[in-house]
Amino acid sequence: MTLAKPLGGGLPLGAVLLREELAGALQVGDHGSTFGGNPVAAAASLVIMDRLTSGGFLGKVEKKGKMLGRNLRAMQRKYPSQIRDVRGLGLMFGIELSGPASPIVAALRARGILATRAGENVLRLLPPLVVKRSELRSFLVAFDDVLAKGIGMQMEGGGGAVA
Amino acid sequence: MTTLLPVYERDLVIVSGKGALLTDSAGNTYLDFAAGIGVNGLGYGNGKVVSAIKKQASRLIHSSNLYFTEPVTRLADALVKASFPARVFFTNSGTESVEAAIKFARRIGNASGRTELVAFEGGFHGRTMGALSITWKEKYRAPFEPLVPGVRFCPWNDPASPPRTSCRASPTSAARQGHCSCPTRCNAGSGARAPSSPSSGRTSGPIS
Repeated sequence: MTLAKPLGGGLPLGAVLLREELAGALQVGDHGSTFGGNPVAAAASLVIMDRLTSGGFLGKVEKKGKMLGRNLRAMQRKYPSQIRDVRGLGLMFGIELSGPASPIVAALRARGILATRAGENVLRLLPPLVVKRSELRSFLVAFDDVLAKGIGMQMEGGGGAVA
Repeated sequence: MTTLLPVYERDLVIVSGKGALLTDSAGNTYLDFAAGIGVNGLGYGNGKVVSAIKKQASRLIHSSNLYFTEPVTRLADALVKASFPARVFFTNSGTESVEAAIKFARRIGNASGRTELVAFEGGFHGRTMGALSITWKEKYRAPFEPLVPGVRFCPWNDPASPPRTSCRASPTSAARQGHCSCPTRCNAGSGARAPSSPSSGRTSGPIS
């Protein structure tokens, strides 16, 4: 199992977990890393691990994710010609659009939201797990505005809103 | 004008952050739905994280793997406790983790003539040459061929394909089950795929 991304609290840190019964196949000298396993990154990671595994943190993340997912799917029903699919787990979502994602990303930024795309047509949402419900609602309001204005849509005759 | 290699399209200068908010050099505040590409799970300016970093940095920043350090051994224990009986190898990034996993799979598989690496269509595993070899998107791989040989791509979430002997394995059970090793990661952000269905027998999918 390979890990990285949020493991180090922002500091570079990754890990591979090799099943115990297979680990004997690896001998001294087979692999190495000068920097791998930095104690400062590990200290930050212990804080992360502690937060993730206590106080029902992940349960709350799941609830926020369900709320976001419900609203995104409602938006898909409201704008069926613009949103093809909504898929996600927890607070990570990919919104497949019928048009290019770049204009949507730009329009969201103009509304004070930073998001990215995954491929040409997918808007990727990956907020910090500590994002507040009020902030999720702010996103939904902005996203609704962007879709209502038809941004990124290919209109007949070639026109279309850009902001 | 920048002396950075222009492999990213960017125009914002980010200065600071708090919670899920970021501030740029012009003083604008943004709601962050990128989290530094899925990195800032606990947001910005987390007091406990900063304090742990400051404390450790003032004691010892780096000693190399020639020696043990207490935060690293404790973290390895915590990861194993939260997952399954395992031995941990620490790296500095996801792509490095994947590189190590590929080497481990080859080391284990070579002993019995199993050298094939199996990866899933749509998967993204990293930009370094090994991880790139098992990354699906042709556009990412093409300019850097020839890559690591012996890679087979299988459809995602399709229990009927490929042949059962090849793709039921997870990277950690390669030696037990199949002819090859399936690198799967717990963050499939760039792949933008649907999570693995329980019936498919796959051992991973994107998680937050």
